[in-house]
Amino acid sequence: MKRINIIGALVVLLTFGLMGCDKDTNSNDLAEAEVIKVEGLQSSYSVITDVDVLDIKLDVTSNLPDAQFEYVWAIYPTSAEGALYRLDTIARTKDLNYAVKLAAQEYQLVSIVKNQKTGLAKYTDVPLVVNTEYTRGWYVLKDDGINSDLDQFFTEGSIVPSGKKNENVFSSVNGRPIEGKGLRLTYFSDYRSTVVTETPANTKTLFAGTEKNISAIHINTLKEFRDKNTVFWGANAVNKDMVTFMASSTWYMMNNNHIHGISGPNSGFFGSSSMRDDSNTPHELSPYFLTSGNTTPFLFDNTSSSFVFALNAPAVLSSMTDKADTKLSAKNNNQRMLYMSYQDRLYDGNLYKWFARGWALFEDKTTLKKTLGYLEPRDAQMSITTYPVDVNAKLNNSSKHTLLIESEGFMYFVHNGRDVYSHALTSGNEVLQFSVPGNEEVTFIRHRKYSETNYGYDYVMIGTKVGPNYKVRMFQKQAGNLLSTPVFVLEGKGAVRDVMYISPTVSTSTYPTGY
Amino acid sequence: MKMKVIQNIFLLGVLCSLFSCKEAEFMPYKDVDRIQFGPMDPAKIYWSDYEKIWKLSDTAKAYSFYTEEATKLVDTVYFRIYTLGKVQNYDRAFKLMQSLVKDVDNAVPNKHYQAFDDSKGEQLYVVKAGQSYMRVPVVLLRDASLKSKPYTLQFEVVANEHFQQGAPTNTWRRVLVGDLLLQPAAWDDYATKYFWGKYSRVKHEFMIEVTGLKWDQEMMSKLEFDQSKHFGTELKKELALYNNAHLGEPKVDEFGDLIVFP
Repeated sequence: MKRINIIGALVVLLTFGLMGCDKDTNSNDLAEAEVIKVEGLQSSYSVITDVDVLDIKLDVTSNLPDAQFEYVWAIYPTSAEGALYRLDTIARTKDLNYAVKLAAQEYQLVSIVKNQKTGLAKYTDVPLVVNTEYTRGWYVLKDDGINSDLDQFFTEGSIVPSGKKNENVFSSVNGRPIEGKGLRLTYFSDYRSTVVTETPANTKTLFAGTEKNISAIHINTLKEFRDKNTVFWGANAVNKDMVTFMASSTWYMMNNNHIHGISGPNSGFFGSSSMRDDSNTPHELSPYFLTSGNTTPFLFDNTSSSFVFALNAPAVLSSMTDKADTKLSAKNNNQRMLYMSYQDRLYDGNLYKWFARGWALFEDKTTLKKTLGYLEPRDAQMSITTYPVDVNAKLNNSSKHTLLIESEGFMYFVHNGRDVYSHALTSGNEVLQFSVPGNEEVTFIRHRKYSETNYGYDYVMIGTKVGPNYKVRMFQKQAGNLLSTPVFVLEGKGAVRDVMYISPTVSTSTYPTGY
Repeated sequence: MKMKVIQNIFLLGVLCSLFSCKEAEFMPYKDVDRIQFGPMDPAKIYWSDYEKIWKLSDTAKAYSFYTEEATKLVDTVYFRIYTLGKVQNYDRAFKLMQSLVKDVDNAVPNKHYQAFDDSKGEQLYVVKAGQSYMRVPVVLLRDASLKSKPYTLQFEVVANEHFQQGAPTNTWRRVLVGDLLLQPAAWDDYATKYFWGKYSRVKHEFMIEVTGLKWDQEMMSKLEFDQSKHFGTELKKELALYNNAHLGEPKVDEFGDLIVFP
């Protein structure tokens, strides 16, 4: 019996002994730490879907001998249309040879190299920009006097066009032009639609506005997915002079000198136009708006000669009051607005808010005298500093205008249809910057700037028409003056109304909401 | 002797180690089969804020024949009922019974609604084999008395041979039925604050008249946020149009209050 008990005790001890042992996995030894080096990846990639092949050859080494590597290549979207952010494996080979078939947007390309022997993995990711042939290039909105279309100028490695062009590309894709003379291009990367997903999701959308229609175009395919008949919740009696803009997380559309908006959870349909007041007093908004894009939009009612502002696509526009230092009342000031644009913005650290500032050109309804106004709206209050325009100034007889946005203090304008002048905003000094040659007539002028490695620009764009053809000269500027020779010239058929550079990194906030 | 004590301690240790680990026991439903009402959308039960926000969302409904064709004499509203306990492979009837509510006009069986024990509806209140929830139809009848005022039908599920009652808070439902305008459930506090303002029958009638839409529960419950904003502005414009055409006599409701939309 005693023998059995001793044997039993030994068995138990042995069992505990076996279970009590565990593999020592601590790393407190003095062996050299493993370092895996992965070379062969560029700092970023830019490809065209359905065309390009990602061909990457890796050079992988470890400082430990006899390393046995396994490989994973994956991608995930960083600016997904919709809301899907998922790591997708695309290869398990050392070198990548991947025919790109992806939706056009920005991704991270991920390389994971793991030493099977030690379990150590090296994770590397680099930006991968996927384009379609439509997602990068200069877009020109032009018309033939009746209908509008788009020309696309390709760029390869720099902002200067490569020479390849997609003429009338909207018609080519959609089988017809856009009704009406062109007005303005706007780009939203977060406009909601069901083009990509079953439920409304962010859609990269180029809006082409004309005098008679608005076209919402999916930039990846250039297919129109909404127009004046389908972009609203309801129907409008009149659709006229339709352009979109973004202000304070709200999408707005000017239509027939009234403003429609979308705010909060939405499907991308614009609501009923805002009323002037609770009595729905008739009003006619100037087509211009003052907002940086992320500040409250200020508008001008030409009927009552009063500034108003819109808070989150309101049912009723809000009236403004005057700041004590204003030189021109914001209400019933007997002015007609000829032009207005955003110039820059100011951060108020006490209020934790940005405030947009801009300039407007007014014309007195009675005396027809013109006045430049420096606009400094603060919530519901407006301060206007006035600069009377001399009757002999070229600005007094001007047509098209553009401000140098977030730049030097100059306004550019067209005089006599062919001379482009600069007007120093505070001193009033005017300088002839460019006279179009021959029989050319200026149809468009705008300052735009954009930052992207190899594709950045800061141009005053002057579009002209001669006969059936257009030219858009892209001028750099120095201290507010145009350099004598344009960097390049876009040429095509029709009359130019707006020009915008689009790339996969352009977003809603890329271009300030100015004129 | 000492050796024996050590051996016993070892054996005790072995026994303890053998019985100290045990797989966690499932907690199967051991109660009798029960039945109770729940949300129309079964998925809502699993929402994290169900108990806090959604539990009572489908408790009471209002139905009006007002916007229906005169030829429509019968209509149905639905609730959803859920069983607790094992799903059975045979049909199980459940029993509904009207419960009278104090200080309101209670609906009259077979006048304002088809009685729950009416022979015509005996197959309506049966949980089919293999099912654990179903839509419960309540058949409403268009009696002339509904034109003058709404009637309340409150009912509860009661015990029978298949089911005992579920949680007391979930055993009842209520329908307000009329042939005049009634405030739809979708015109709730949120919608009142942001879209339509205080409810009144005159306002409701105005909305129907100027838009040509029904503005009943079915229509209003499907409105999206931005669509509601759109209609709010449209209605504001229509009201301004009316008030401008009736200077000095703006639209007022049955309480004498000025009609406004937020």
